[in-house]
Amino acid sequence: MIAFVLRRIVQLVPVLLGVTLLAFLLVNLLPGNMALAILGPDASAEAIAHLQEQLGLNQPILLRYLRWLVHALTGDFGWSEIQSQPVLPTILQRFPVTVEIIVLGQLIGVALAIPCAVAVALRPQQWLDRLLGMVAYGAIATPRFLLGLLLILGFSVYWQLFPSTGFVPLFTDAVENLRSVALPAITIGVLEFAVYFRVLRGEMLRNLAEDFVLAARAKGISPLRAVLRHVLRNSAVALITVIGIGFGPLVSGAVIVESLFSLPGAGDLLVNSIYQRDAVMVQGVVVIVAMTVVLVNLVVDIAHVLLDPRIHLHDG
Amino acid sequence: MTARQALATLPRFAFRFRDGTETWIWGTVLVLIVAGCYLGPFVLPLANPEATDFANALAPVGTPGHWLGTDALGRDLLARCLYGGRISLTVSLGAVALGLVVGGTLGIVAGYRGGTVDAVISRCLDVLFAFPGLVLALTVASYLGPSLRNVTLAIAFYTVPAYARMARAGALRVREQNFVRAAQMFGGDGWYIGTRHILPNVLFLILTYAFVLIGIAMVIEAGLSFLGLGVPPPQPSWGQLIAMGKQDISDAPHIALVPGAFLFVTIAAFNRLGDILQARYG
Amino acid sequence: MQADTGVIDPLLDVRAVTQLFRLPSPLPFRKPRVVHAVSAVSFALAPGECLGLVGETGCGKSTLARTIMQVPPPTAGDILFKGESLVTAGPDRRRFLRREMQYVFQDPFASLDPTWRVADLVAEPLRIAGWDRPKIAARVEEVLRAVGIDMARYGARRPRELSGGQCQRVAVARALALSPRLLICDEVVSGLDVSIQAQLLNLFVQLRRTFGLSYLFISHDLGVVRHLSDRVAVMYLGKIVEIGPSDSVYHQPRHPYTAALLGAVPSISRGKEARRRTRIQLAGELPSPLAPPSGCRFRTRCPRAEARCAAEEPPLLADADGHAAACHFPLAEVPSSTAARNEPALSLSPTRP
Repeated sequence: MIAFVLRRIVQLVPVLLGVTLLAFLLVNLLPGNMALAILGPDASAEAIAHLQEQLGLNQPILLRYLRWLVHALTGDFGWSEIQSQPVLPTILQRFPVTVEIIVLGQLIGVALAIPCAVAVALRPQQWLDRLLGMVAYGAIATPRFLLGLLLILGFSVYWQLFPSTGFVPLFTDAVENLRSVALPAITIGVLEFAVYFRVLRGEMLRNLAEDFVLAARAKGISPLRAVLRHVLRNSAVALITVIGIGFGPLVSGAVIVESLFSLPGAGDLLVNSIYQRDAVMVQGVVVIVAMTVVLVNLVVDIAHVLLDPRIHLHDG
Repeated sequence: MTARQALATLPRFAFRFRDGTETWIWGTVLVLIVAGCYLGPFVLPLANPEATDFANALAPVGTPGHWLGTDALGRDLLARCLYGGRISLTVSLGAVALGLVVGGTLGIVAGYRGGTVDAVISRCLDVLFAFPGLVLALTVASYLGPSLRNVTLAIAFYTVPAYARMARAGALRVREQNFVRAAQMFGGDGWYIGTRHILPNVLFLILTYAFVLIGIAMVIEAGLSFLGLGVPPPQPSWGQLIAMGKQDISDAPHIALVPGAFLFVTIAAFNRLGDILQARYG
Repeated sequence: MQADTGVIDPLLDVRAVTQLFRLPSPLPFRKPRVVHAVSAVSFALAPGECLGLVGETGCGKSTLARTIMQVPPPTAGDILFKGESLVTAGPDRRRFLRREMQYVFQDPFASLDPTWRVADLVAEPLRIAGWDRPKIAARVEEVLRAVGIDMARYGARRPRELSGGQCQRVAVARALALSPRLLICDEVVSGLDVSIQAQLLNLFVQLRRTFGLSYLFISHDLGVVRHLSDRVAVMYLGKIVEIGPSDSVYHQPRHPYTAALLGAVPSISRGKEARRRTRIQLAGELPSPLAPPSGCRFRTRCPRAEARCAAEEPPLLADADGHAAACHFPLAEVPSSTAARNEPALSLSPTRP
């Protein structure tokens, strides 16, 4: 087990290096002049040349990368000239909002998916199964911003239950905070529900056909208890895996949702930094996001191995 | 990789139509939309999508002459959706085609050759997979500058690794088959085995995967457009049309919902057809 | 055709061939673990001869056969075909030499590309060898006829539209297309119905007569091997433990492992032969090829094992007939039913009818 974790961590090093390199190259090699972005379109050629010199933009790209990497390893992701703020603290300040809507969305997804899947496992191929199947299908085909707009239309324009924009920090007013993130979290949660439900349903129906369930039923356990104790438990591993794989796409969703609902999260920071051509900030956000995705996947893989007794690690 | 296996075994849903009937319904819907977007402007008596007509502004769905209504400037939504669909479809199909060719080749090479080649390609794919699709596309699109070609490229940053991973898994499975060993013993070289044995045997997998990926590519394209980083006006894609309708969502929701419906139906059709194909032949 | 390895130049000469596979190490920066799949195996095959290769699943039979085909090439040792080394030959020369030795796989469905048609499958080796179209078509029809498949009826079908026996016939036809001199048959009849097995075995006998083929015939089924082979080699854990003329090996096994294998074959004839055989029960499991036992590899399961067996590896020593066994304490050559009684110290029990 320890060997497996060590191996995964060692495998992670080149990936993390590649992530930082790619992010750096994307932002620095592609067209778009950073000095021009800082000084504005009216800047003189001399001023641009001077600023490029000052920012070290004339040096070879690999040298600049290495210097950036060394700084980044000590926690210094640079200084955004455009927003006049240090990169890392700004990102860390925005992160909790993103984490809040993602976690709430996942909770909504799990809270809906488990009872629905249990209900369906008790009576597969009945009307409820078909209805939920269609709902899940529809949810997966709906882009998040479209769903968000529909929710705004329903819950803030028509019924006026929740605000459509704005954010109240958790520690200012917990109730208002929940109201302000309700629609974003639901927007995320509906799609998560659809994905979780589909996976859980499939996994539960497969486990339902196993002999150990039949054996449990033969002992006289009620169908509900058999499903809860034997089927659901054995299907939970797949659910955790899917929650893990879904994390990357979820961050994409968070970017859209934050932008739609004007939430001050990391996704919103990314989009705004892109609008302002703030290369240093974009680079910081992209690297932190990618590293988070990599680490979440690592944790999920380890959890998977820990939770699934069927997996034996012979040689990894 | 346990996580990937789980993804590969996602259950398939069936609405319990007769299989054939359902395929026909979705197929017809898809053909109508695609044909409408690409041929409609030449065949149908469509209004100019940019022509403003303030007398008929904010016409609701069902207005004669403007069957899907008009926006705040009186522009015909049907025409705008059909013209816009062309952008959405072209970008998504282009990105998936790029993914199929580039990613498919990389995946087959990595899976068949194995060893160092595989290790290098796989690590590169891991790096690309660390970036959420939209985040990567956003970054690439913003720095390349918005244009049809660049947006397609930006989305290809997602489709190429997705395809490569799929093709690699398929090639790894086929490589262990004895007919590949037999071809090696007859003296077939890597190119021969790759094109004659591996490719035909993963082709079906690759083609059905295209349906799923087109859906995802359309979501990413719409997201980019929605954030204002898609193909620039005057060619608004569905995502941009929805974004523009957002301002009038409380007064005239149909401005956002009509292109939204186009987007939804198209993605649903691609997803569903992909699932049906996989369930039937996969 | 009766073999006489001493006089005629061998068609295939396998010299101390070893095949190792490295497994990725569980921890980074540790030594990789090595699977000893085939260890220093030597034998020769005369033109027109049929050598049977038997042993339990996992003993390295198939790996040895594939190593002979250079897929993959051996870790050590040399393989000579018609006196020419396949290991040191350049890629083009090797490809050329390999055309005269062909391989037939166990599972015909897996060895035929499911996306190809029968005619194309059989034509594949010819296409790779660079034949032109009309010649290919004629040859395909010819070899398909030789294995009893009607080209007009089956040529356009795909493997999944054929039965298992038909598929194996197609695979054999494909192997015959380039007029090979040696056919390596890897468990070609296992997994098929017994009646189909018999038909295929008869086909192999007939093809040998028609085309003057040599066979390396691999099977875990001793009955099947006996049906065809002039000589038999017994493999255990990557090594040949006994090799010799079929009659001699079947009637008077010298290696305890061979005796055990033969004891596991249900015999229909309840006559002399069955009575003469001694039955050895194999204890325990096949040891891991990751760490083969020292000395004699069979010693961990051998009822006759002594200290010497662990210390010293027994050489494969042949007698005048060419019957060789790698054992320090071979079963005595007593062709009478008293063999077992003569050695009461052993945990051998004679089979009684």
